Amino acid sequence: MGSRKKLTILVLIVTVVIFVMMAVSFVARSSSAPGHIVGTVVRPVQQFFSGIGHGVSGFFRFFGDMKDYQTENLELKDNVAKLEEQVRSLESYKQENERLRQLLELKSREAERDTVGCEVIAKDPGNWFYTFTIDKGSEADISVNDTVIAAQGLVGRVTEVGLGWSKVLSIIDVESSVGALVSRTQDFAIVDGELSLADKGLCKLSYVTTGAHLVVGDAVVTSGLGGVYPEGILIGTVSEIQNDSMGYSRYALVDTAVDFERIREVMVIRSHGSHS
Amino acid sequence: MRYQSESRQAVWQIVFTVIFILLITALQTTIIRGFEVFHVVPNLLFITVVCYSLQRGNYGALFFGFICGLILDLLGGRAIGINGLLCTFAAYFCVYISDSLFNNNMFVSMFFVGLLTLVYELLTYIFYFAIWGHGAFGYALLCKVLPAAIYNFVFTMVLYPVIRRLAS
Repeated sequence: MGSRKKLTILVLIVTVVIFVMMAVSFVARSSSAPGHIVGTVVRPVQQFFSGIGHGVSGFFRFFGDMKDYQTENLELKDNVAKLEEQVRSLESYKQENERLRQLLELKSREAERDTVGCEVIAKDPGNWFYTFTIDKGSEADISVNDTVIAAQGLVGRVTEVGLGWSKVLSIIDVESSVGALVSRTQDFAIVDGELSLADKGLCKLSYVTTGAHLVVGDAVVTSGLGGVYPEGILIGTVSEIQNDSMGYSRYALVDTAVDFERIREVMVIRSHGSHS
Repeated sequence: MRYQSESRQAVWQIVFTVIFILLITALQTTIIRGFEVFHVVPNLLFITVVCYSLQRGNYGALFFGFICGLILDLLGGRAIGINGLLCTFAAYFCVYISDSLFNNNMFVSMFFVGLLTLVYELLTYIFYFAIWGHGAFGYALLCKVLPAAIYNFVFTMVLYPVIRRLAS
């Protein structure tokens, strides 16, 4: 049998295996055991690189500045480098302090809810989805569908839990759908993720009540309907109101309160498995 | 004696390959976000699959593609299989044509990485979005598929020397 023929047969076998795996994972709606193994093995490495990743921009800036320093006095160069490093470090501490302070304030606001603080250690490997991994999982009593928030507002929900890690689906992802309430008018609606809006940090507010008088700047919060997200968590503010292509219904664009590109610390509202 | 030396070399190659996959996987989900341009990041695992398959040109490359695809599936948290299938087919295509290539250098790898990324990202869009009615084809093509292909094409220059050593 020719080498290419063998190769083709092998590909066909692999294809069949993958289709079986697809069917199993579709039925189970979870990557289960293999996913948990990969997640647990990769997590320590991810945590290591996550720390480096947070400072990668500063690192490249440092190397960019090296050329300029060469033209300067050696002593001055050392001093400038040290001072810049100190400033950068202080700035980073200042920002971290600010974020932690906000989280602490949120913690006191959310005192009646059982929350746990987590750090984002990895993001989706591709360009299409807006999921990320946090550094706490089943050992912290986090369960699937637990709500994830940041100091600014709603982040998403937990979709998968492993030992020492959990996956979070952001509200800007196309798979996300959140029951919402426009604070000022008390109108119910649905906040959906959209592929073309996600990169801009926007969501689509659809199924708005016909008589609703939305205005730009209206705050949108979770309605509590649907049983996943608790009510009253800020999702964002209305940034644009539009009619659909047929002109029969209206929808709005919601500018999410959370900056998903710079998200680093979140809090999980633990339901202790009451969702699943 | 010679047989022992060869088998020891093979074992070391497997160990290095596993470490390399682990490293690339960790980089793909962490540091690589620092290289984001227009909300697009290079797909290190896919680049690795294409370059490795072009270099190896045998069954091992097919298995390599299958494993890398599965890792992408598992890290993405969606239904398992789409990336596994696409990476396996990409590896198969590369192995299939590798014999026919007159000159297998970095530019050839860059060309095939760019070309296969176009196909890979288009099929990803179809499987995950188009058939579920999410639309936005123009946006997907201009803001996701094409930039990803260009970025992977360029980033191949960074990974190629390492993968070439790994595959040899």
